[in-house]
Amino acid sequence: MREMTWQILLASLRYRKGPIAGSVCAVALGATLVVAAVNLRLGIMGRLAGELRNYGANLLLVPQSGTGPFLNETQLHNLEDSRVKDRLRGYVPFLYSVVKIRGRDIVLGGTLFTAAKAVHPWWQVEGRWPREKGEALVGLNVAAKLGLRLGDPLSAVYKSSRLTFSVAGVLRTGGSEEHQVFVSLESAQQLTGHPGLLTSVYVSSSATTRLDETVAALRKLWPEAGVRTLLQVAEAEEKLLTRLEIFLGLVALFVLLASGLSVFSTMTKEALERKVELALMRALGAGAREVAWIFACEAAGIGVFGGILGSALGVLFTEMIGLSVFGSLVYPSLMSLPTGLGIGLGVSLFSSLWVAKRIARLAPAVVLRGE
Amino acid sequence: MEPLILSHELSKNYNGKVCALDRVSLEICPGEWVAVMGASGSGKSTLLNMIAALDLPTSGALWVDGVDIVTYTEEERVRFRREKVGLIFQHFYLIPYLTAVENVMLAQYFHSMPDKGEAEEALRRVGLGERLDSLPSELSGGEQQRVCIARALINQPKIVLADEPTGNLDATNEETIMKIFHHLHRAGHTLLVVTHDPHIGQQADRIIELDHGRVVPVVSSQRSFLKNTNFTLSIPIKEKHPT
Repeated sequence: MREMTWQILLASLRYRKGPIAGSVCAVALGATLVVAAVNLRLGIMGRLAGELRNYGANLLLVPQSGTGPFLNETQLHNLEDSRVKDRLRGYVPFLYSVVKIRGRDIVLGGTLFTAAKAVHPWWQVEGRWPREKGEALVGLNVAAKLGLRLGDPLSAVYKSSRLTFSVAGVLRTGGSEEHQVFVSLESAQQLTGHPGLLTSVYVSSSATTRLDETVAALRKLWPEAGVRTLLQVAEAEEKLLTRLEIFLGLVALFVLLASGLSVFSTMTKEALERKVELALMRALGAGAREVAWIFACEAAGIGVFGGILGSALGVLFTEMIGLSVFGSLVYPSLMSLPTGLGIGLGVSLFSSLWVAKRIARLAPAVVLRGE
Repeated sequence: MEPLILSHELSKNYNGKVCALDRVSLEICPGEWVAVMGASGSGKSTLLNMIAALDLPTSGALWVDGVDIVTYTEEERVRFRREKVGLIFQHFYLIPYLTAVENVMLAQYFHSMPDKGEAEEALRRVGLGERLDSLPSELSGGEQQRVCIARALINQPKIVLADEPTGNLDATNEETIMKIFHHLHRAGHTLLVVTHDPHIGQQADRIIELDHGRVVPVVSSQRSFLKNTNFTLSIPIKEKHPT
């Protein structure tokens, strides 16, 4: 019995190579567009979020009110905890204080320069980043006001302490950092007499995680630290990404509808052309289920072939767009194949069975009379 | 003898306007060869489709093998078609991508279990032993019709219904098909053949003539002509079948 079903299917596929190839192409085209749209949506979102994160930290840790003016440097290990580590792209601690340099009150920030460079990639340094304890990075505005040049010595006085640094680089950020001077964290702690203490930590969360979840995890791990979102950056990011997500989601949906309609029209045309065959089967004593089974098997075959082909072409199409728009490959989603197969199978089965059902409603006598 | 087919006041209206069959009552006995004749649109094919359970009447009753098939559900009508009826069409209606033997096996497939040997034997019986694996496109019209006959007979149906079986054939092929029909008749098959060709109709046991959906009463001259040619007459409405 099953053998006969296969015999019918294979014979049908062999005989109707052209129309079958047309249907497979229609399904493949639909699947290609949807897979590409889904991949681009996922790929672009990740890439954009990553690129937006290059604009700096989006979280600030400061002492929780009522816990004193400082955070404890030893608590930085909380940010290395496995529960948040994957959520963070990087962090940089600061100890800020106001010192006298050349008789003026200047904000001095002690930091870890390697970390600062990673978290604030847009900071531009004329000269070079400080490498040694006795070197400083001077904000553009401070350098101009105090007439400091690369290699110049500068003395920072805090109450009765004094430390001398040499200017390794001049910092341009376009922000308040240009009014500040940065030295190593250890030097700042030594100068201000606050060893092991920090005033704040700038944190850059990972592009792939939700900001509110990261904030909650940080609050739980480091209760002494107040976690603030840097609204300007975080909100802009969230808004932009949400809008883009909606836009790309809609594009994927419209592509799905358009390609679905195209496949539907090809498959229904093909099924309609076979209405005599269907009516004959009914006249010979085939039940609606048997006819539907034959049509469903054929449609499933077309759907699977078209779906696999469409998935492969969809990934290829995504990469072409990725290369032409972003200049690099877009990592294809693991959902590509299931999406392509789902679209292929779904649309071909729906179209084919929809028409088969409608034709089955016609009396075989009417069809066989050619009316 | 109990009639194999018995209709009572069978009518079919399309959209409440066109009356394809108008209160047709008839009986067909087992083993009888009946020709249904009439002009185009007289209701011949409609009557055949009713008996094949391919179409439903608007009113009336139709007993086949002792059961009123008008009351059948769709599922029962499907079972009826696969078990009791063998259909032969004017346009053959063979599946173009299946070989001759596969086309015959298709009827077996829907009936119960395909049996290639049996299907091949059926084709040999209609003289197509050499064309078993040919596609319909590789067969002549007469050969295609013989495949249809083999397909119609493969499940040993109670009734063979043929709608203009020679309508698309030349004289030579028409003769071949009619020889097969005579052979089937001698073998005891009940045949109902729709035709507009008097030559074909006259070879049947009797003729039922339809005109505008009604059975035409037979006039005496016709009756004597047919008697002289050894053919049985059609039965006018309510008239008893001559035994």
